[in-house]
Amino acid sequence: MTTGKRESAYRNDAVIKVTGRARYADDHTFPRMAHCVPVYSDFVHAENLSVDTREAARQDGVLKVITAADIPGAVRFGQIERDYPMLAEDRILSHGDVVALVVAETREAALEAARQVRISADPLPPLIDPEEAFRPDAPVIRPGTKNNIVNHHKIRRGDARSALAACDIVIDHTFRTSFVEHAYLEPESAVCVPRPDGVMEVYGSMQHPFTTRRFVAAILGEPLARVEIRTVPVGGGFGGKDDTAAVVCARAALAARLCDRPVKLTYARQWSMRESYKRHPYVLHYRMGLNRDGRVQAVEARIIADAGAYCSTTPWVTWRSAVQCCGPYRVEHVHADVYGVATNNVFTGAFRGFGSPQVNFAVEQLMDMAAEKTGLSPLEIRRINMVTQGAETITGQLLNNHTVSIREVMDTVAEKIGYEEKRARSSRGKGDPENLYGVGLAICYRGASLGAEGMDFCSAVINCQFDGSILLEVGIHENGQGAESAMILTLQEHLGVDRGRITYRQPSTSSIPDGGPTVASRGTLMGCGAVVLAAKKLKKIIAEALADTLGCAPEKVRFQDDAILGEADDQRLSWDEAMRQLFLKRVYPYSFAGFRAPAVTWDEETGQGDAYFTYVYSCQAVEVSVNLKTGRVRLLNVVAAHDIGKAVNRPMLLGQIYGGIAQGMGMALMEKVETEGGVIRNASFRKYRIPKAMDLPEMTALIIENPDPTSPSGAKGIGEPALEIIAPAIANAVYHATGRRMDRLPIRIEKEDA
Amino acid sequence: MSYPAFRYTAPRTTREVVETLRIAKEKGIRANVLAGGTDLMPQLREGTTTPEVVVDISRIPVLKRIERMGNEIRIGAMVTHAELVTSELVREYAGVLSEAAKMVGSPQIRNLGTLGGNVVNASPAADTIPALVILEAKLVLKGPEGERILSVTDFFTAPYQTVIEADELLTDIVVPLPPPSGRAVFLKLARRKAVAIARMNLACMLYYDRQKETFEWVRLCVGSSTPRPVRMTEAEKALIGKPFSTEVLQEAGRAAAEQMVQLSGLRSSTAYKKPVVGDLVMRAVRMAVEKG
Amino acid sequence: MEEAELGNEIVEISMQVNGVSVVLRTPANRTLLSILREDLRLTGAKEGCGIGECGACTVLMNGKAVNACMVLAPKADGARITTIEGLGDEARLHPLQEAFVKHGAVQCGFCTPGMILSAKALLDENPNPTRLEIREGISGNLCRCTGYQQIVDAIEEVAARKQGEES
Repeated sequence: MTTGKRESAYRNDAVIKVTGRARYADDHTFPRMAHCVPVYSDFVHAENLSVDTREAARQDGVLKVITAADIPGAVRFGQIERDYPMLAEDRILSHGDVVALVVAETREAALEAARQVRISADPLPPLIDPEEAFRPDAPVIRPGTKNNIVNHHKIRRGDARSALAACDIVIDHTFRTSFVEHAYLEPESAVCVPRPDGVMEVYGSMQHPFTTRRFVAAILGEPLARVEIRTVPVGGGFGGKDDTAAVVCARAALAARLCDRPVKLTYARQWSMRESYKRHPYVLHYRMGLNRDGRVQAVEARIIADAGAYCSTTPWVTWRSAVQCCGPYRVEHVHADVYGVATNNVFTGAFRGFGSPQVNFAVEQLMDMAAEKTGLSPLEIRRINMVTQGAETITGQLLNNHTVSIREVMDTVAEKIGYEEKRARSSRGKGDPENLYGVGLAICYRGASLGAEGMDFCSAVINCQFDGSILLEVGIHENGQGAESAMILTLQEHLGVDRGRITYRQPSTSSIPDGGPTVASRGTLMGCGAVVLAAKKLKKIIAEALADTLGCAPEKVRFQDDAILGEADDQRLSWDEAMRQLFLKRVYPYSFAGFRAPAVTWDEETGQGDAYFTYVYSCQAVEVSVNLKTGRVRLLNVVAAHDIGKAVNRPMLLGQIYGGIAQGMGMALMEKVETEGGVIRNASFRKYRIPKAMDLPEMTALIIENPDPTSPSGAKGIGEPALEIIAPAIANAVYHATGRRMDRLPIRIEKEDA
Repeated sequence: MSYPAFRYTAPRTTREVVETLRIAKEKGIRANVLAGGTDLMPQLREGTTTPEVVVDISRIPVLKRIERMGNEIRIGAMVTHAELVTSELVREYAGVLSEAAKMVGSPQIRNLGTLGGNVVNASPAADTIPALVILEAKLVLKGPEGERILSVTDFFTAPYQTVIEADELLTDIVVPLPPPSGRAVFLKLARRKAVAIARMNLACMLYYDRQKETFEWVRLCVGSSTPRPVRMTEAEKALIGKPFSTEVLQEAGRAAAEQMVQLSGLRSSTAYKKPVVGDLVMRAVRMAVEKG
Repeated sequence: MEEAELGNEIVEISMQVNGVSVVLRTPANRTLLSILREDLRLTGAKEGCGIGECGACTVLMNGKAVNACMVLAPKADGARITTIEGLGDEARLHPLQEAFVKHGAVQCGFCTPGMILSAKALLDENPNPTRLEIREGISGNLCRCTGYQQIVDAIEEVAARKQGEES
C-alpha cells in the first residue's frame, strides 16, 4: 500500500492547460463559420407538433432554419434503441426536445431569430412518476412500444423466497435517489467543417469519438468513413458527454452540410442542463434476510430506474445495478428485478458510477442495519459476508483469476481512520444537537470495463520515427482524466526509452480503429493493455532486425536505459542509433495491436454468468458533524482506499479519487435536479449547487496494488470506484451521529422542533 | 455572448446621470443604472431585464469615496464589497458592515458588486442590508428636483421593490457613527430545504452594561425572513433592561420568531424559518455580549 | 442634444491587455469575456455558466479577480486586464502554473485558467494564506474534476515558496 505522497505529476497536456493555450471545441474558429442555436418548445408531452419557421428564416443574417424534415439521414438515433429524435418530428416527449435549429451569420442573429420560430402542438398529460408509468394500465409514452418498461434485468439464484422465510432477521427497506447533473464545467460544443474532399470534420466536446461518429453519419445519411471526429480537449465528461454531446455534434454537422459552411453550435449552460441526460433516480425496495450469526442468506430486490423519455444507455446502466445489487457479498439466494421505466422526464444515461452508486447506497446501509440487528460491528458483518479469494458472486462467477482484496482494502481504511474507536464515540443522537458526530464507511467491488454490456476491445499504434522520436496513438479518448499520459508512461516503461521521445498523436476516428467508448473506468485498463501488446510486437520487430548487429538471439535483446542491448552490456545501440540502423535495413519500427478483453458470459433469463473479467475493490470512510438545528451535515474527514491493480500515474490516480469523492459528496449532500411536471426548475449553476473548495475536507487516498493478471499492464481503473460509495459512507456516518437512517438522496436532515 | 442591443452611456457626474434618467423617463425609454453589474448582467442574459439604455455609473469618482464627515461615514454607492471588507474606516466604525460584505458571494463577486447595487436591487437575501438597518443608515437619493434622504428601513417596500424613482440615483449611504460602547455581530446561515437554498442572515448590535447587568440598548435585524428588512423591535424590547440570562435570550428569540411570523404570514418557508430565527437571535446576542 | 445623453450602441474601448494597448470599437451590449475570446482570440478564459457562478472566465481587472462574463465590455475601458495568456508561457511558467503542473492540479483543465488567476489574486493580497484561506480564496471557482485537493496543495506550495524567498 502506498499513500498520497507528493510526487511530481506527469501530464502531457498540463502545460498547455495552465497557460490557456489548450483549444477546446468552442475555442476553434474557421473562415466563413456560421453559428447555430437550438429551438425548444414549451411542451413536455405533446402530439401533432407543427413548426413554422418562415418568420425566423426572414430575419437578418439567418442562413437557414432547420427542422426534422430537412434531415437527409436518420432523424432518430441512439446507442441501443434508435429512439432519440435529433430534431423532434410529430411528437414532444420531453422538455429537452429540440424542434428546430437556426443557423445564422452570428450567434446573436441566430438567438434573435430563434425567438421567431412558431411552435404549436396538442398537449398531452405528462407521465412523470416512474412507479406510475410502470403500472400495466399506464398510458404508453413511446409510440410503437407496448408498455413503458425499457428493460428488465433479473438475477435468479437459489430460492430467495423460501430462504427469507427461514431467516432469523429480515430487513425490509426502500431507498430513493434523485436526478443528478454531471455539471461538467464546459457545456456541449461542436464545430463542424465540410471539407473539400467531402468528409465532414468534427471538433466536438464529447467523450466518445466513435459513438459521435455514428450519430453524425446517421443524421447525414453518410458512411462512417466520410465523417472524421477530431480529438480536442474536453472540459469534463463524467459519462455525461455521451448521447447529448454526440447529438450536438450531429446537429452542427447537419447545419454545416445543409449550409455548406463551417458551423459552430455551442450550448449555453441552461440548454445543457435542460436537455442533457442525468443520473437515473432509483427506487430500491430491498428485503435482506440473515441469520443471527450475521450471515446474509437471501436478498430480494425490486428496483425501478427512471429512464426518462428516451432509452439511451438505460439497459446497460441497470444491468450493472443488477450484477452488483448485493454489493461485494456472497449471497446464496437472490431474486432481483431491475427495471428501466420510461417517463416524460429528462432522459437519463451514463454518469460516472453507472448504476452502482444507487445500489451501493441501499446495500451498504442495509449492511449497517444488519450489523445493528445482529449486534456485530459493521466491519465484522462485512468480513463475514464479503467475497474472498475463489468465492462465487451472486451471478455464479468464481473470483479466481485475480487477487480478491476487499478485506485488505477495508481493513486498511478502518485502521487509518480509526473506525472502531470513532464509532464508539459517535453521538448516536445524544449530545449537543448542533454538533453531533459520527463515522461511517462503505465498501464495494466494481466489475471492470464493459463486461457483458458490450464488445470490449481497443487498439494502439506505435510509430517510431527514424530520428528516434516516437508517435503513440491509442483508441481511447482523453476526457481530462489523463488517459494520454497513462498511455505514454506505459509505453515508456515497456520500451525503456526516455519519455521525451514520445509524442501522443491525438487520434481521429479516421486514423485508428474504433476502440470503444472511454467509459466504465476502462481507459487505463484497455488502452494501456493495447499499448503493452503493441510494445511487445514492436520490440519483436526491432529485436529480429537488430539481433545480428547485437550478436545475440532476438529473444535475448533487451530494451532499457534509452537503448537496445544484447546479452552483454557492451553490446549496445543507443535508441537513435538503433533507429538509424533500422532505416538502413529498410525495416519499419511500427506496430499495431489490439487488446481484446477476456471473455465474459451472461444469461439474461437467470442473470448468471461471468459478468466482468475482473473487479476493483474499494472502501471509503468519512467523519461528519451534523447540526440538527440547521440541518447541515459537514464532512470532516475522508479516507479512501482502492485496489486498482497497478498505479500507472500516481498523482493522476489520487486526483481521480479526490474528484470522485467530491462528486459523490455532491450527490450525497447537495445535488438534486428539481423537476416539476417534467420541467427542470434549477437549470443553472445559481440554483444547482455543486461542491466548492470550502465544502470539502482534506482527503486521504490510499492506493493498494495487486497487479491484475487479466490486464496486460496490471492496471485496472479508478474513475467510478472513487465515486460510488461515498454516499452510503456519509449516510452511515449520519446514522451514527443522529441515530436516523437516511434512505433518500440527497440526504436531508429533517429539522428538529425547537 | 451578447444581449439585445442597447445604448450605453457612462456619465462623469451624478448630475448627468440624473439628467439622462430624467430624459429617458420623459421619453418612456427603459433605462437601467449599471453599478457593479453582478445583478444586472445575469438579468440581461436571462432576458428578465431588457433596457434600451444602460447608464454606467462607474466613472464617477465621488461615488467611490469612503469618508468620515463629522459623526457620519459617507459611503459612495459604487464602493465594492471588497472595499468594505478592507476599508479601515468601515472596519473601525461600522465593522458589522465589513463582516456582512465579507459574506457576499465569491471574491470575484465582491470585487465587482457594490453596496449601492446591493441596496437598490433590494434582494431579501442581500447581506449588507441587515447591517445597514442596525447601523441606522440613511440613503441619499438624487433626482431632478434635488436630493432626498431616507432612512434605510423606509427605502424598501417588498422583495426587489423600493421607493426609488426611475429618474433617481442612489449616491451615498450615510452611516452615523454608532456609540462606541456597541458590540456588533453578523451571522449568516444557508440551509438547504429540498433544493431551494433558504438563506438567512442577522445583524445585531447592542450595549450590555456589565455593572448594571442589563442590556442598555439593542438593535436587531434579520434578513430574508420578512417582506422588507425591519428591526426586530419585539426582541429588542425583550432584552432592554434585562440581565443576560438563558431565559431572557429565549424570550428574545421567541419574540423575534413571533414578529417574523406576524410580518410574513404563515408560509411554508416561515414555518421552517421560525425556530431558526429564534436560534440565530439567541446565538448573535450571546456572541455580542461575549465580545465584552 | 437630449438624445446624445442616452449614449450610443457602439462604443470605443481602450485597455491594456496583458501589457499590450488595445483599442476597439464594439457594440456596447457585449461582455468583456466575449471581447477577449472573440475579438482578441484570448480563449484561455472560458464560459462555463455566463452568470458569475463558476469562475471559469476569471481574469484580473486592475489586479483584482473578476468574472469576465459579468463585466459589460465598455466597463473595461481604461482598465488593465491580465488573462492566463499574460501570466506566463511555456518557456517561462509563472510559479503558480508550475505548481499546478507539478501537483497534478489539472485534469480537464477547463477551470484551470480561472483558478490560477484567482490564486494569483489571493496570493497578491495575502501572501501567506492557510489552507482554509486558500479554499475561501478559490470559492468563486468551481472544479468538477479534482475535488480541489491538489489545487490547494499547489497554491500552498507557491505561498510557502514566496515566504521562503522573503525570509
